[in-house]
Amino acid sequence: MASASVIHGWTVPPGVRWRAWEGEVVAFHPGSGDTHLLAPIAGALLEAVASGITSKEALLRHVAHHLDLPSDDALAAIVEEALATLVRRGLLSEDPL
Amino acid sequence: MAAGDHLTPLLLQPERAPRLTLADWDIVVRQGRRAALLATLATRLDDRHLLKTVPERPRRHLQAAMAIAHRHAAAVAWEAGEIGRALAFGDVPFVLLKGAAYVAAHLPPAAGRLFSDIDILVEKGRLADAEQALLVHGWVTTHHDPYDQRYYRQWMHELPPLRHVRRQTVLDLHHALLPETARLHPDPAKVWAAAVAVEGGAGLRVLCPADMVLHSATHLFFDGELDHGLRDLVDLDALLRHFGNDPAFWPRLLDRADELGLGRPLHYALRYTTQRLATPVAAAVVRSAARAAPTPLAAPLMDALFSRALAPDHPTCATPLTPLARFLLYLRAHYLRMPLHLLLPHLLRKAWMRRHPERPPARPLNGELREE
Amino acid sequence: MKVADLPAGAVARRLRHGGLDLRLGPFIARIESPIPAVTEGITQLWAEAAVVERGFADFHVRLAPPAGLRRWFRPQVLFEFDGAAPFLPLPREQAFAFLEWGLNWCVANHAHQYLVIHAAAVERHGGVAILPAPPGSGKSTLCAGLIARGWRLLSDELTLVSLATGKVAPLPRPVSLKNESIEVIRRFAPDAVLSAPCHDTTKGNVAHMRPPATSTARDGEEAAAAWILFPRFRAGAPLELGERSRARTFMAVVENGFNYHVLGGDGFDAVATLVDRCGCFDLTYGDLTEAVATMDRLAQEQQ
Repeated sequence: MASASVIHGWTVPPGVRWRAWEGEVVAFHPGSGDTHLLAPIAGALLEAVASGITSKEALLRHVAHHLDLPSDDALAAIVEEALATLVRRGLLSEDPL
Repeated sequence: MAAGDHLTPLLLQPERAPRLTLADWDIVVRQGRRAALLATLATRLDDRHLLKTVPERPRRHLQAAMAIAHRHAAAVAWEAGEIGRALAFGDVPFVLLKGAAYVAAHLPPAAGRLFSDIDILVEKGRLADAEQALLVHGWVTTHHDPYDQRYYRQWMHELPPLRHVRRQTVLDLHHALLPETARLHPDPAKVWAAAVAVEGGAGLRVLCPADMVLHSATHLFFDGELDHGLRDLVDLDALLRHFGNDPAFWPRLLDRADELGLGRPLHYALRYTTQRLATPVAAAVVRSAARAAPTPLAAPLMDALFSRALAPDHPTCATPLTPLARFLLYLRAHYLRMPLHLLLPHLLRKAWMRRHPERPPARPLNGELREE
Repeated sequence: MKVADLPAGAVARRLRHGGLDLRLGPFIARIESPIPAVTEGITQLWAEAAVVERGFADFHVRLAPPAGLRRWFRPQVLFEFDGAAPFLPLPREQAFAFLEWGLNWCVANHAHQYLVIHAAAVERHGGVAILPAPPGSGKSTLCAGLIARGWRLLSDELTLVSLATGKVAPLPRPVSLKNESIEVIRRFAPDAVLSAPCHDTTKGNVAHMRPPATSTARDGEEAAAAWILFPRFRAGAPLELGERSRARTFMAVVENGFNYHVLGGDGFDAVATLVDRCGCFDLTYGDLTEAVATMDRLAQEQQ
């Protein structure tokens, strides 16, 4: 959990590849060699980070808009978990800004 | 050179490649593949821009071998990082050994290498912590048979291999370079103290250069089963050429061999690399190492055994003595690891297990083509 | 010169002494074997395969009895590649089938200039339909039915997608049929050449269908992939052709990829390109004639 004084952002590590079709995203991690099919929210997050959106608030807004969902606490919790999963899989890296 | 060995001359002089016929390549590719050196050969040709001189069919095999090796290296580099993260969690320092060390430290033997597992060294007193930290991160023991567990833990210098549940990579955890039951027993504390950090390697550590060479030599001549004798010798040659650029390396190597009691393996290493791979080693160094040679009576026998076992393991290189040579060296390696009264029951059991494997045989008939 | 052009006894002689060099699609295999079933299989089912001069062979394989008791007692056959045996032995009657699958193993583990997919590939009007499928899905039956009705066979088991060109390279070899499929194809294509069924205790009966001469004659012609189709046979089921999402098709191709993990990022890109340019479908069928007609229509539409 990030402390109040340190703001974190996300980037896509070099070597990660992905493609999107009709809202579904597949992603490849070169180190582990794993290929993932991402659920819609995780896929939207990966694409957003790749396009330069790095802060949690902006990502939440993007997902809500992109998937036509209310930007509420429930969504925020899901986004947080999805980001953590993507980091665990090596598809995103979390860095202090 | 062993009769019919087309591979070693080409490894030593890749510039000969343009002169090879298709029939020559037919033999080289097969010998290279069996010796696990095809990717190494391909890399040497590629580095010298000679791949384009290779006819298309054999060239595709060389390129395929390189593709496999690249994938292995990437996977090993990733695994080493994951292992580091797991052990950092348990606050357990460790040192990478063999292939994983070559990759992490960007050493020449890493190029074109294939990996079956990753070897690391931890302090004996921290073994339990290491096992625990690894278990939490997904590495579980592979040998559930209590006999095998005992063989590894009590008599050998390693835990039974650990396999990662998801990635299926195998990790060998050692607490010494050689088993406690072996005749040669370099002091693990000394080896540990001399380990060095990899530059830019995020906390990864490897053996110091002299120890790396001595470990490789000891593994080849005293510990291993000579399945890939030529490959291991090629690794040694690459290490010696690389570290040998520093003139201070050679006296350190000789001193360290004395200090760790590994004079005999060093003698064999220098003898066979200079003889078979033309490794540039000063004559004075070879002479000095030869003080640890076996008795004059044993030398011709060892020469004969090793010379046959260090050829590529392929029918085109086989002489009538080869299976016997390999078997004798296999027995010798086991004898050196375990005293005779322990060795015989162990070998009998190994033979039994081979005839009655626990796993069912590969069944291609149902369309499943996975090699086991 | 084809296998069928060799004088009587030459196949057996070469297999026993020195090896028979055959070109199979992009590969040259040198085959050695003293076992009569192998001679018969090659003579009957690989009649159209090209015999080549000795030079460089991609794969050196040997099918022979193992040393020891199993030479005579419940005889077995061992598959050797480059002098080593990657598999445990099988009963000797399965020697030719073992050769087929052993060669598939060789290709899948070494031909990394291709993305190798466990799928059938057939071509019509210049477009290739790739049919990935686990065993029991009816892929081979459908494949056999299609080639009996004018589709060109590129492969029954291993689809080779060239990393360089993105096209599918042919490797036309006999189509393996199991149990009821054997009868279905006999009725559907009375002129097809089928081997005598081989009895396996786990899988029932297995027979092989010889590819049409035209397929083998054109085994040097790559073609562009046009469809990725997942067949599923259900006795008596009405025909259903549904679209499958590209992302899910992608994952299914990866799952059926033999050497995907070796190719790394290049493999990912190759599958992505394939999925980009293909129509992706699921096909459930209960009647072979209906299924073939549906595929014919699909091929017509893309012209």
